[in-house]
Amino acid sequence: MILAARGLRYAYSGGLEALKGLDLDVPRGGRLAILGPNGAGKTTLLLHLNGTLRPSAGELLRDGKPVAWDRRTLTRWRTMVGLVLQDPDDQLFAGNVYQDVSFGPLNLGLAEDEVRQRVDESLAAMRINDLAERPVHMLSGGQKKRAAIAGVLAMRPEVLVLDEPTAGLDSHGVSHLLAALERLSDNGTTIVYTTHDVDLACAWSDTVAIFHSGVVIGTGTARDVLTDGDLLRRAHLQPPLVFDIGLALKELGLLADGAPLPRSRAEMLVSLGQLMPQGASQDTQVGCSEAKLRAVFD
Amino acid sequence: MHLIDRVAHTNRWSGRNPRDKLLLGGGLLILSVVLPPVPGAVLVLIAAVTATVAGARVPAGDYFRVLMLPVAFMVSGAAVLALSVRLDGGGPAIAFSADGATTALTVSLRALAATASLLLIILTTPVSEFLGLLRKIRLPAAIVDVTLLVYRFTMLTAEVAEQARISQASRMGYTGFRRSLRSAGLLAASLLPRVLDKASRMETGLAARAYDGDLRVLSSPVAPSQGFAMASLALQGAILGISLFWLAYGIGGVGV
Repeated sequence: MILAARGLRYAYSGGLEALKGLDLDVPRGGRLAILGPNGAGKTTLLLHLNGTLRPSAGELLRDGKPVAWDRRTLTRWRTMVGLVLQDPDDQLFAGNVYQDVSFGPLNLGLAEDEVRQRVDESLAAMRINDLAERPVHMLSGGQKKRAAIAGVLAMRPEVLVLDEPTAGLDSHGVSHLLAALERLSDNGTTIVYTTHDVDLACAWSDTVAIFHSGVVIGTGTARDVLTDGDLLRRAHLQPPLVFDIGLALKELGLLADGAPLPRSRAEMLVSLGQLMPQGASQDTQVGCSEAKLRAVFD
Repeated sequence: MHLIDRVAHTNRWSGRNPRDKLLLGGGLLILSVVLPPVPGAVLVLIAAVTATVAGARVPAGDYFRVLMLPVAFMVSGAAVLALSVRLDGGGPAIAFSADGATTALTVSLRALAATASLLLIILTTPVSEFLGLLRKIRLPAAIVDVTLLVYRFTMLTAEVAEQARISQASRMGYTGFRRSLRSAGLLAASLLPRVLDKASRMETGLAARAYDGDLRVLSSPVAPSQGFAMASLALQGAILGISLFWLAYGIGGVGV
């Protein structure tokens, strides 16, 4: 576990308790989705993962060892765990994208050449090299988001922590963002993000942690956790659409009982493609007819 | 504000090293102050406007819209110089004096030329580039940081205010004078806590990138152009030469 939380408690001044003895494991190199309704304290949890907030009780472990809270440790910790806030306007401050991305590595005390190399590398990773000279208030929502992430990437974090990364983005912005995160994940960066979007957590994660009233009430793979009706009801969440459809298909005998449920739109289309009759010949492999399919989807 | 910012980022010289533009605009500014307004200020004015509109391709319409504000101040100031109140004989009367008119004209010309020289720098240089230059000339970091944050927050505040205004307007907040006044007051009152809230979230964002109290950034590298510098100096030399020639052979009676 690259990061872990044990018995984490945190109350805001005024007494509102956001975390109530929370346990969480962040596996190295994995993709962890923290799923929960709005206002449940997910952001508070993320702010603990890079040491911005200090818990009133409980501890945080980095590589299995409890972390300290002195200045030097905090700097190293925040370099290792890159935090991307929900609203990119809270993060972008410089005049243009290039300058903003250079901010983090300059704070690490790197030489100018090294900083420039890292800026170029981060802009390339987010595919925004062409926006380098653009002033930050002249970017679209999706572009701002990717610029904010590039600013964090330039510090080469081992863990990238994102608060509601897809909130407010159009579908084009979301697919660009997910493609970029996919590349980072493939290169070994651990990714942790919060979301209230069940379909996103289902499609894009190795582990899903369900967060409700200050604690994690369930952790596991999407197929384990997001099919647990009781768990979902307790967290006021609905099952992902693809699981609902997949289960309906199994019920109708269109999808083999042992076959894994499709986790994303793409996987769903693939399994539907296997069901669909090819040309004139009726596909009998899975015992399905066109009429039967129509009955399901009309 | 938005207009200036947009023009500064989209003109043909926005990618140029700011040192180039500072040399040209700053030199013209000095000339407009030290040379006699005729012909010095006239030549500087022509040079600065031509450089900005023809050289940097700042749209003429945008240029004059930005220029209008300082010009309005100049005109009102000049009017006071040209006119005087006479108290002799009967009641007070407003009088026009030739002396006053000459002073008004020379002062206005000089002010206009100086403004055009400044606009040449302002309209062609994005704030971010300008700040890099301020850092290079070793201005204290605190001043540069505050300038940068003021710029960024001005833009953010303008954005927040515009959103709030639209939301008020679409709920009939600006129909009638009394209601407009009330809405504007509410907007102003809600702006400060909102911007402060934003500022504290920004602090979290900066801390996540190992902020240590010093907002250092790098600009993408563009070398100053030797040719541009030579051309600037040649232009300024020509203006100086013509003015001195004019003075020496005494063509004009108007001078300071």
